[in-house]
Amino acid sequence: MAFTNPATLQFQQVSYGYGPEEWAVDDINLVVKPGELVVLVGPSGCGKSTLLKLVAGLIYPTRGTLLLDDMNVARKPPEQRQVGWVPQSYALFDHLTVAENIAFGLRMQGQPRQQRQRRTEHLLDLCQIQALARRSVHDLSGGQRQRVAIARALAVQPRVLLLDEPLAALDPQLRVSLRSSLVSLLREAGVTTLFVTHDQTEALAIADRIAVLRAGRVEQYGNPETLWDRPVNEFVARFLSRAEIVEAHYVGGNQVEIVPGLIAPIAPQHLNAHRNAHTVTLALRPTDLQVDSTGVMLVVLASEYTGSSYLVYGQLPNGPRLSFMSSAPVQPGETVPVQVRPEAKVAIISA
Amino acid sequence: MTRDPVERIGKVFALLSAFICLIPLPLLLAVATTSVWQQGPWSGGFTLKWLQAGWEAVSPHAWFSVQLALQVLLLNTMVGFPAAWVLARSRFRGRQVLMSLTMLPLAIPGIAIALGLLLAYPTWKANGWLLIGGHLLYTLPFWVGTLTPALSQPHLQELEAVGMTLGTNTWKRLVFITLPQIRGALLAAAIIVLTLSLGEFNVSFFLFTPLNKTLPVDLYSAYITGRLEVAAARTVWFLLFVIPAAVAIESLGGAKVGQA
Amino acid sequence: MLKQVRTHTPWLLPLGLLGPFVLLLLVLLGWPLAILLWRSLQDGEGGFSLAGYFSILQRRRYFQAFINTVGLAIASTLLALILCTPAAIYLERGKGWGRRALAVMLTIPLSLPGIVIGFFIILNFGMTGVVPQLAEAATGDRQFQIAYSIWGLLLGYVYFQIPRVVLVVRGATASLSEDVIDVARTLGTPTWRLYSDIILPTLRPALTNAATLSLATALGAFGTAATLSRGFRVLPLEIATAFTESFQPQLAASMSIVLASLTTVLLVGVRGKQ
Repeated sequence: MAFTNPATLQFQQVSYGYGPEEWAVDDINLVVKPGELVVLVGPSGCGKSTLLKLVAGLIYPTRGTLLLDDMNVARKPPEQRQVGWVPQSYALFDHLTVAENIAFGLRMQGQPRQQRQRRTEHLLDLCQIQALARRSVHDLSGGQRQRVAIARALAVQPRVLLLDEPLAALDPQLRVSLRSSLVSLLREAGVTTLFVTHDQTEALAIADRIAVLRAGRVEQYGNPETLWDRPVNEFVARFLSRAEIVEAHYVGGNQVEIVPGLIAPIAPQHLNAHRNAHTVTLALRPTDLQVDSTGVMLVVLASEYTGSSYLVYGQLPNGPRLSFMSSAPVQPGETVPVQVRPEAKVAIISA
Repeated sequence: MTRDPVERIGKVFALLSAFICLIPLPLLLAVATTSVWQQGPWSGGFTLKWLQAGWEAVSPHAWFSVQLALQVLLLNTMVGFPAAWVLARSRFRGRQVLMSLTMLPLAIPGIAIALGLLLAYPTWKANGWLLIGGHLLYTLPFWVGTLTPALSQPHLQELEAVGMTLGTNTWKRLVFITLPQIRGALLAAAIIVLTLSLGEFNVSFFLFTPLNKTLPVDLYSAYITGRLEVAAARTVWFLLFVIPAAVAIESLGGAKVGQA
Repeated sequence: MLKQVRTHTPWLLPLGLLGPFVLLLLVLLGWPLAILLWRSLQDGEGGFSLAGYFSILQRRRYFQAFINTVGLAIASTLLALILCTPAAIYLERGKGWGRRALAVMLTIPLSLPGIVIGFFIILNFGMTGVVPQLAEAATGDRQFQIAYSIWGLLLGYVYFQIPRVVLVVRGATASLSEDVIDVARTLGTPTWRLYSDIILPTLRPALTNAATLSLATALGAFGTAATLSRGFRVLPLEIATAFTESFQPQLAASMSIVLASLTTVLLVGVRGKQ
């Protein structure tokens, strides 16, 4: 028995808001393939929850087309879209039991009792909450509530599942372990999923593809590796990691020079695109640099112990700030020689 | 544990106020069960004759008052629920003005409104419509004022939004999500309306006719003309209607502040 | 928060749902008030006259009733504030079974119509009231038969003010941040400065609210006064007498307008500005 009938979801020039200066969501163009898990990530207020509400039909786009498979649903009310929405609070019906919550949509469709029960059992199984069926939702833990909310949304065989920060309400210790079990649940259900988060590690960890949003616009859309290796701009580079943005000169071979003595290797495929450019912009991450006596001297500004090593913030004399990982503790004011690791894959910003 | 002088004074004043509030109740019972109060408590012995006679005198008016209260509740539901819904959910120009207009009946003394109703619709007194109208006017603010905040909770609206995505239409959402979710507020609002209507005097005093005389109006004539024991016995019966409702409202977390 | 553009709410629907409600307010409130105002400006023959309003100022009986009403309202409000503000602070700034029970007791008068409160005063201070009987037992002399005097009314009015002040002040006290008070304590603030500089300024809007609510309630109170109407006269009683006994609709309407204006200014004007 299929749990879902996944659809292709397309945004075509979708905008929402009061006009050019006040778009909450601005000219969105995205294609989500059937069964794909797409993560919308960005700082708070970037419009990611608004995108979910647009797909759910709780608000209608001011402009643009929203396609579910081949049908434009931009003006359809939510009850005719078959889209599952799980808000951040999970919004469980607290006057109903767990099983009644899950069966709610089926009951509203007028499905016969037996069919309803069978499907509810399936979902209780899939979400591994069989033991909770008769409980009141008041007694559930955060993780259990999340399961019930997702089961309730999946019960009506949604064509797209919308998850708004599904892990944000959980304890930080639980978040990582529940994250992987959530992803395997979504894979098993095979549902097209839009997943909103503000946490870039979460996005990189679970996404098939990531859309990075800023101020209502999509800055970059692609798989995690592409975003990590080839961010299109400083915002994406900085948002995904603690990268420092530096300019570098092409010096022949597979190498670029940031300042005299600080040389970075570049992957050949990056080189092709930039062979004719005189300078390139790099996103240097702390893990790209190491302490190395052949390197350039860096003045230490501050350092943080991260458990296995130290994250050190430093500055080149009269040059850019850089941070790097160090296995030995260093003091502010010290100077330390650093060099780019020979094996580092330095990200190039390529708009 | 507190050394705070204000709280110490507060404790004394709270006890004193509670004493003032409570003391009339046992006193009322004592008077209602005493043969001849003039000679002191239970002089001539304990008796139930006043209470018995009191019930006979009170019951037709109690019955009328209950009917009136139920009619008023029905009208509140029909007119006030849709209005509370719109006030909670729609943003339109003049919404704030309308909200304060809703509360305006509470600001105007009942006697002024009763007089206005009488002067405006002199022929409607006889058929009892004015009485219903007056009660409706003074209970609507509580009905709307209790339901509007309940209906405008963001949590409830989110539940309804989930309901929408699960395929429910407007009516099903109302029946299966909204009403169950606000049942506490609904119950509180209903009890408030019923008790306010049962206890209403200021408007009723001008709008009643001998055929439709409310319980408080009957009590009033007992206070003015009857002997103390009879009046006390009738009051006991009246309080038996009102106090359970008040306890229920308190336990539902609502408090009503009507006119005196 | 996101500003919602509701493109799919038809505006006719809210209008249709609000219609009966607005109509009802117009029929039951707007039009009667307009008629009341109109009649207060008309003499017996239908001509324009301010005689009703002049009577309140010039005829001793009505002017006295006006002064009585305002004086009683102010006095009962002040007494209730003095009695109930510390009580409410005590009830709200701590926990426990005892405080909760007290809090419930203090809401009792809310469920009682004014006439019942008036009757309570008669039970206590009437001709055969408990207090006079006790006084007789103690001194051989029946004293304190004050039910129908200004003192009886004052007590009755304070009785119905108690829950009104307590509820409003408790609400405001509950929203006082204990953290702010604790921080002030650690900064070495003595208790009286805690009240003068932090607690009372925070409670001031609530106290104004409680005062206006109490004043307005007392000005419009009819039931209590009607039950105790044998001696001390207040404006609502004179309205009733002027209309039902002496058939002076203009005078009754004028007094009603004066009273309604006072309470509306207090409740809408003063409280609305908070």
